[in-house]
Amino acid sequence: MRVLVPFKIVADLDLLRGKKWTITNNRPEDPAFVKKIINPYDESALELALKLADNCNKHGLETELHALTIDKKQADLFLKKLIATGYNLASRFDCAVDLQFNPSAKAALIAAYLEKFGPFDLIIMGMQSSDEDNAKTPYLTAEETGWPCISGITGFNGCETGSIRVFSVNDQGTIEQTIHPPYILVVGNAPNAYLRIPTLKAIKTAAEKEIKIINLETFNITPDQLNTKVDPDLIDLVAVDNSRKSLLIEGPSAEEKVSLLYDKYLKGRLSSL
Amino acid sequence: MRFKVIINACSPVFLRRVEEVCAFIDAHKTLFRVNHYTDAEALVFYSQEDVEEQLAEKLPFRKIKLIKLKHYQPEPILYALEELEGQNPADLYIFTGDLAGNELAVRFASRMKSSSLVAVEKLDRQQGNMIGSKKVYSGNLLGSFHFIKKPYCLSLARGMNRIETSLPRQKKNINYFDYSTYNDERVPVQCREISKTEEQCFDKAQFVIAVGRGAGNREAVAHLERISRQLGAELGVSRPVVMNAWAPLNRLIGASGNVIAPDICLALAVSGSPPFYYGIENSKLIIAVNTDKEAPLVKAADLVIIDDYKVIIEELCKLIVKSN
Ligand SMILES: Cc1cc2nc3c(=O)[nH]c(=O)nc-3n(C[C@H](O)[C@H](O)[C@H](O)COP(=O)(O)OP(=O)(O)OC[C@H]3O[C@@H](n4cnc5c(N)ncnc54)[C@H](O)[C@@H]3O)c2cc1C
Repeated sequence: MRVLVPFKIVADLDLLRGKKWTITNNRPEDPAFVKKIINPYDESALELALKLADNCNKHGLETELHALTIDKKQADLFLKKLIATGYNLASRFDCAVDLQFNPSAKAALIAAYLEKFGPFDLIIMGMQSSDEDNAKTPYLTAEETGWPCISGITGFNGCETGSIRVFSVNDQGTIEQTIHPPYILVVGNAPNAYLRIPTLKAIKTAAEKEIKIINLETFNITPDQLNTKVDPDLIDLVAVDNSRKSLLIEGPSAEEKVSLLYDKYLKGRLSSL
Repeated sequence: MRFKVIINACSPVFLRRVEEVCAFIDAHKTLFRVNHYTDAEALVFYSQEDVEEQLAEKLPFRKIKLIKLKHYQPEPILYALEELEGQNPADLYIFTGDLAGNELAVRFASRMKSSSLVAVEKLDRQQGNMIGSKKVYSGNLLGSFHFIKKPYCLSLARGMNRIETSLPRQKKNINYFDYSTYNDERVPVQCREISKTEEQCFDKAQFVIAVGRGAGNREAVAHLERISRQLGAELGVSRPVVMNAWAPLNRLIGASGNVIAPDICLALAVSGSPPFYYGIENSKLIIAVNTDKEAPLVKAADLVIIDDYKVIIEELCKLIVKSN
C-alpha cells in the first residue's frame, strides 16, 4: 500500500497568543519569529499513517510512506525527522510562489505529485492548518484527483484484504466504514496521535538519507498558473480583541480567595440556575 | 441576490444547524434582500424515510427540495447538487457550520469553478463586491475575503447564534427527489454508526467546568468530572486533553469542538488560546484559574484567580456542598 501524507510547517501560534500582532500588507509579521512546528492536524495525519503501516506490516502487507511538504529549506529538518520515524521517502516541493491563502494551488501541486510519482493508494492529510485556517486543501485535492474522501478521521486499521477500516467523528456521530483505496482521509481531532519520537540510531541513519527536492519545472507549471488560482482573495486582516474585565481575586490564602469568589460572584448565580 | 441553503438532515442535530443558518440569514436580510429566513430556498438531504414528515413539519422554509439518500455520503450529495443546481445556479449557497458543510461547500464550488470560504462569520457588500469574514491564524486574526466567481459557496463558522424557527406546513412548497439508488463503487463498502450524536451535552448547561492540559493526567480529569457532576456542572475540555485521551471527543470545547454559552464557565488550568476561547466566548461569566498570570485567558476572563486549580476546586467544592 502506497500512502502519501502532505503536511505543512507552521509557526507555533500558541507561543503568540495574547500578544499584539503586527500586520503589514495583509500578512502578520509575528509568526516569522517564533518556533516552527508541524501543523497539529498534519502531525496527527503523519502519525496515523505510521500506525497504519505498523498494522499492515503485522498482516504481512507492505507499505510505502511518502511525506510531502511545499516549503523552503527550513522544512528539511522536519523531513529528516519523518524519515527517522519510518517514512520511506520525504519530498519537498521547492516553490518560490507565496501560496498562503491559496489552497487551490496547493491541491493542484499535490495532485501533480500524485500523478508523477504515483500510483498511491491513500492520501492522508490534516483537516486544516493553524495559520491560514482555510480547511479546504484536502477537499480540493479530492476534486483535483477525483478520489472520494472521508473527513473527521480519528483512526483506522489495515485489514488483511487491503481494505481499510476507517473511524470518523462528525455531526452525525462516530462512524466506522470499510473502504477500498484509493481514498483521501482527512484527519480531525484524533486522540493519541502525537508524532512518535524516533530513536537516536534512526535519527543518525536518516541524516544520511536524501530528501527529494522537486520544483515547478518538474511539472511544467508556471508561477502564473498558481497565482490565478487565488479565490477568494484575502483583502484585510485585523487582530481579534477578546479582552474582558479580568478582575483579579486576591487574598492571603486559597481558602480566602475562593470564599470571596463564592460569596460575591457565585452564590447568587448558582442558586438561580 | 438569489441564494439557497443546503442542509444535511442525516445528522441528528440538523435542526440546530438550521437555526444557525436562519439566524445568519436574518442578520443579513438587507444583503439577501429578504424579509425573513423563511424566504430562503432550501435543499435538504435526508436518509430515513420516517423523518420525511418530521422534516416537512419542522423545516422553516417556503421552498424546499427534499432529497433522499441511502445514507450520508458527500459523493451522492455533490452529484445531486450538480444535477439539480448546475444548469441554473443561485448566486450564493449557504452550507452549515459543521464538517459536512465545510466539505460540501468547498467541493461543490470546485465543481462549479467558483469561490468557496469555510467558517464564515459575516458577509458584507463593499463597492459591489461580496466580502466574507472569518477567523484565521488560529483565531488570532479576522480575515476578510473577496469572493470572485459565482456561485459563492460558504459554510458558517461553528456554533453561530441560533434563533427559534417555525413555519406552518401549508405555507411550504415541497418537492421530493430520490437519490437513494445513487451507485458509486468507490464509496464505502460497509458503513456502521458506532454511536449517534445525542442531544449535545452542553445544550442546556448553565454551569460548565472547562479543564485544560494543566490538569496533568487522566486521573485528574476523571476526578474533575466527578466534581462537576457533584456540582451540577458539565465538564468541557481543551484539545490537548482530548488528544491525550484523558476525556472523550464530545467534551471538546473550541473552534473545532463545542461552542458553549453557559451562565458560568469555570476554566481550570487552560491557557485560553484563541481556538479554545472561541468555544467559551459566549459564556456570561468566565472565571479563570491559572498558576500563570501571563496566560491569555487571564485577560479574557471576567474573574481571575492565580493559584493551583486543585486547591481552588477543592475549596470551592466544600463551600458549594456546605451551602446546599
Ligand atoms: C486548527 C486548530 C484548531 C484548534 N482547535 C482547538 C479547539 O477547538 N479547542 C482547543 O482547546 N484547542 C484547539 N486547538 C489547540 C490550541 O491552539 C491550544 O493548543 C490548546 O487550546 C491549548 O490547550 P490548553 O490550554 O489546555 O493547554 P496549554 O496551552 O498547555 O495550557 C495549560 C495551562 O494550564 C496552566 N496550569 C498548569 N498547571 C496548573 C495548575 N496546577 N493550576 C492552574 N493552572 C495550571 C498553565 O499555566 C497553562 O496556562 C486548535 C489548534 C489548531 C491548530
